[in-house]
Amino acid sequence: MAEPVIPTLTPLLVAQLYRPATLGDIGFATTADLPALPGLTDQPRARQAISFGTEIGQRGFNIFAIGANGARMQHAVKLLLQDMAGGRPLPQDWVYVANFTEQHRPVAIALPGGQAPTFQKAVHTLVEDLRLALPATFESEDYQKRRSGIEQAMQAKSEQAFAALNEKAKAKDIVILRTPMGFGMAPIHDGKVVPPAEFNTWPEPAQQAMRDAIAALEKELEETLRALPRAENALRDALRALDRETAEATIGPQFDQLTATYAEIPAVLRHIAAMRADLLDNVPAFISPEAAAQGAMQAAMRLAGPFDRYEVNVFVSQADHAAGGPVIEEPHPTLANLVGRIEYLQVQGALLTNFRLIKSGALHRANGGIILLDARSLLSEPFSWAALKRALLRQEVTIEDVARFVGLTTTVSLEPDPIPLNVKVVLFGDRMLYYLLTAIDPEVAQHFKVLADFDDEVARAPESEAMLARLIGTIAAEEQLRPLDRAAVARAVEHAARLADDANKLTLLVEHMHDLVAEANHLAGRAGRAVIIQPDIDAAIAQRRHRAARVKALSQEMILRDIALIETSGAQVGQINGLSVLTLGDSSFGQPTRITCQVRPGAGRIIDIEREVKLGGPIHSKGVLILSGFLAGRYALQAPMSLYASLVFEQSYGGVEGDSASSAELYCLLSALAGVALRQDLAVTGSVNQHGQVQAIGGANDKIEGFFDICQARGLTGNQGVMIPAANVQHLMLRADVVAACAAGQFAVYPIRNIDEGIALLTGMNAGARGADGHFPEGTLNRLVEDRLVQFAALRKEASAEAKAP
Amino acid sequence: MTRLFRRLVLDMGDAPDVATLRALAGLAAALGVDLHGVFIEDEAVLALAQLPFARQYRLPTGEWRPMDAASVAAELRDAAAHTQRWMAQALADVGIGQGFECLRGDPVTCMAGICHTDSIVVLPPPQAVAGQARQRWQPALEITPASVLLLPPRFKPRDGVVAAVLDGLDDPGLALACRVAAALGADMVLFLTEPASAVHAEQVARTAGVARLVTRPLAGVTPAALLAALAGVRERLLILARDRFSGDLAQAGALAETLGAPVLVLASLTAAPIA
Repeated sequence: MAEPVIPTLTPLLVAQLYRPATLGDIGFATTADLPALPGLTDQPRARQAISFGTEIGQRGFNIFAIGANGARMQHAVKLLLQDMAGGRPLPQDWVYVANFTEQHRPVAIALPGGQAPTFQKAVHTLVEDLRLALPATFESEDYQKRRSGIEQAMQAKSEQAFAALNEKAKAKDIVILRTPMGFGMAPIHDGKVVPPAEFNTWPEPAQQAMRDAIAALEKELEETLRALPRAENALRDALRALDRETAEATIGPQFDQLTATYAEIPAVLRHIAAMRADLLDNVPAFISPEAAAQGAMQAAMRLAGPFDRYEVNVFVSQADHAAGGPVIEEPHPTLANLVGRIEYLQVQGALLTNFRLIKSGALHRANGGIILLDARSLLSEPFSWAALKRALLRQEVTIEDVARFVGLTTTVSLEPDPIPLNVKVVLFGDRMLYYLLTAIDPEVAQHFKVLADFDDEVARAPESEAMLARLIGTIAAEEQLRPLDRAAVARAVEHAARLADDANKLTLLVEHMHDLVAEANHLAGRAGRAVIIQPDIDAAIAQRRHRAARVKALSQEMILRDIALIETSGAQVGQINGLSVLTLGDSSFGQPTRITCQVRPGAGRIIDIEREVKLGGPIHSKGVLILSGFLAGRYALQAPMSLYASLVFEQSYGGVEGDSASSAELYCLLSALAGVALRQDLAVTGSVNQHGQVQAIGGANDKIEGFFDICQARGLTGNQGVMIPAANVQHLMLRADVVAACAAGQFAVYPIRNIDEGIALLTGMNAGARGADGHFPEGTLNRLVEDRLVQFAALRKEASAEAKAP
Repeated sequence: MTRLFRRLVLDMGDAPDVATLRALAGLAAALGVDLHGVFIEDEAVLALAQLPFARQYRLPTGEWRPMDAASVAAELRDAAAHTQRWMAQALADVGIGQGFECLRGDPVTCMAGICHTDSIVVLPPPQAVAGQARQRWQPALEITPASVLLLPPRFKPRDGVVAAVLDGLDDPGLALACRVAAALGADMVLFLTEPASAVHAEQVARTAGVARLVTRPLAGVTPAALLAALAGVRERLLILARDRFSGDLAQAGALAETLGAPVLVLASLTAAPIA
């Protein structure tokens, strides 16, 4: 039977190599004509998740937004949330005030949103008024008179007692004397103390009488002196009562006014009452600065003047914010920035603090609203992740001092009241981080029940092209860049498809578009243009590629100088040009790699040399093992395979991963078995399954361009090209020079569906189909392969028999 | 300018506090005088200590202990030395002349011996216990030619005018009052017993550099009349001529208490310059 004619595989049409942009129906001359695009572009899944997450009030439904780097999720979400925040109620203000009974536990008080500064000012005004009024009151004539009256009355009592005693003593010719340490009594005569010599001349009864009289008077003196402390206490009590009454008369009206102003807020009323009582208890401190200075080392409350303990620390206020809940971004989520901190002042070598040195954190400022945090930054800061989870669990924020965590104690510390927390947390992170975190920390699922998964790409359609055009215009407007003309926008949209590595998708990684427009703007500026045109976009793309192309250039140089052996013409048995992609940083490039194969009789093993030396990754090894399945399925149905084959990526000294070269390896193996040469002017990419179907791979564009660059550098022959899986045709967005070469017939890209198609193109032979007799037809490659395997089996059998022979 | 006084004399046995001492120092500076502390070792106490049955009630511990002359003498010496050191320390940064004197003898005689016309004796308000100290030499003030400065309770410097009750004509006290007012940067209110002397008084005040002088007539120089005249005036010092004040020192002290300001009672002054 005549072998059917080898079907000629036709290369892809030019239109299949690159899909130009149409930009939908929108008409515009430059992007300045386009309406701005609000934050979240074409992310229906993520948008729905965020809307749901922010609307649901139940605990634990915080949002974890994940996506690729460059998606600018945080920026887009923030704009969306700010739009949504307007409908929320204004959160409360919070202040910290002194705790007069437990000084180390400042009291937190909530006030209606925006009112904290007013309260602070009202208290400050009251304090300032009292600072002047109280001393003046206590210097007034009226107070002085009353105080003098009390002192005089008490004084008079003491003096009376002394005077009476003095009189008594005088009547008995005794004088009471003030000694260095107290008092003594002595007999006198003519106004002078009787000297011992004279006293000794007195008759004994007179001496005794004098001693007795002195003893009796000493008892009375002692009683009088012992009564003094009681009198002094009574004086102090009377003066204290006078001071309180005087102070109350001064402060009463002002405190009554303040109380009336805040009658609706019980916590404020309690504080005002406590303030009043404390002031009355400490009046001397406010009228005697010296007394206050002597108490200065009760430093928790007296880092400044005695009145400062009554001031109000506005901790969080909505006064300067528009209506609605706050949306707070914390770019540096250290523990202190997140949950607040307590500041200290150094006073004579000690670290001291008070309630006025408590500072709010981002969670406080976001209370009642939403906080946006980057997950990686959060996890990079010690204690922050745990603190956030604690706050969400307890629904309150406690200011935690890192110094205490790490054992650095301070001389004075505070334990401020925790503040109730009602906040929605939106965490942003890349996918890998999210999946790792959920795997190792079960609390993630407890606190972040809403996943907002941002798409990296959107299906390419006129509507999405139009959307991207608006996005580009919005970027240009927001960054105050030049507008882009229509052609430039179209080119940028096409580049967005290339970035997605898919002609039917557009990347949603906004950062890349931003960088492209920014660089093109710079080039337009250098050229003195007011508008960015397509050549600016082309140049920006080319220059970015060029900046990252050092390694690619070195690789190509090695090939062109035949240091790395790659043929781009002729044919070889057991040798083929495979294609790989090298990714460095955020750039990648394709390059050809020689794959070779050797075969001999053996036990049916296909050796992947990369795997043997541990340079091959598991996916690569899987691809090679699939070859065994293919061979066995096609050629070894009746008998085991007696084959030993070795495959290697020549001159490859780094790791190899992925199965995109498995079809090339199979072609190479079949070529070695059949002894049929493979074209070297073609490069091959595509994975293969056990049935010989060629499957899609990644990086098709880079691989094609990598081989093209080598061929172009050597001079295109018109026969060169690349074989790609047919399933990858939809991904092609090739460079203009590649497309131009294909259009000129100098280069070609072939879509391959199965191994047999590839064999035909690479060898010029039919693969051949097994006939009813169970054999492949003569002159086909499969026949040659099978014959070789049968030969190997016979040789092996022969060798085995010889080995057993005695 | 002719100096009328040389020093403020303060009995340190009255145990003034630091604030009062420093306030006195300020006043001394305004008066242009030194501050002179006196510690009197009462000879009566020494004599008491020699008696065989002598004992003293020690206030810190509230117990009776026998006395002996040597211990008492030592205690008096120590007290004097401590007081002198304390005074020097309290006034270390105050730029006025200071003196300290320790005397032994009868307090009245001692005080009378040192209080001359060039001295102003400071009389603090009576205190329950230390009032005993004041009483011991207060009679000296009745017989000495010294002027007396009576302090109010809780004496401390304050804003206000210098008020004076003087004859506006050739009154050395007027010059002193103007000098004090100018030194304190205070206005002056002058109650003239001779209204016709107002012009002269204004001239003297101007020459001395007083910021503002207000003259008012005064019907009588009784304590009540003074209080009435001073109603509504916030004074920081009241200066009286002793021979025109119809009250005694006790009443002057009561004035000081009521006004809350010190009262300087000037004895008969001469304009003889002091070396």
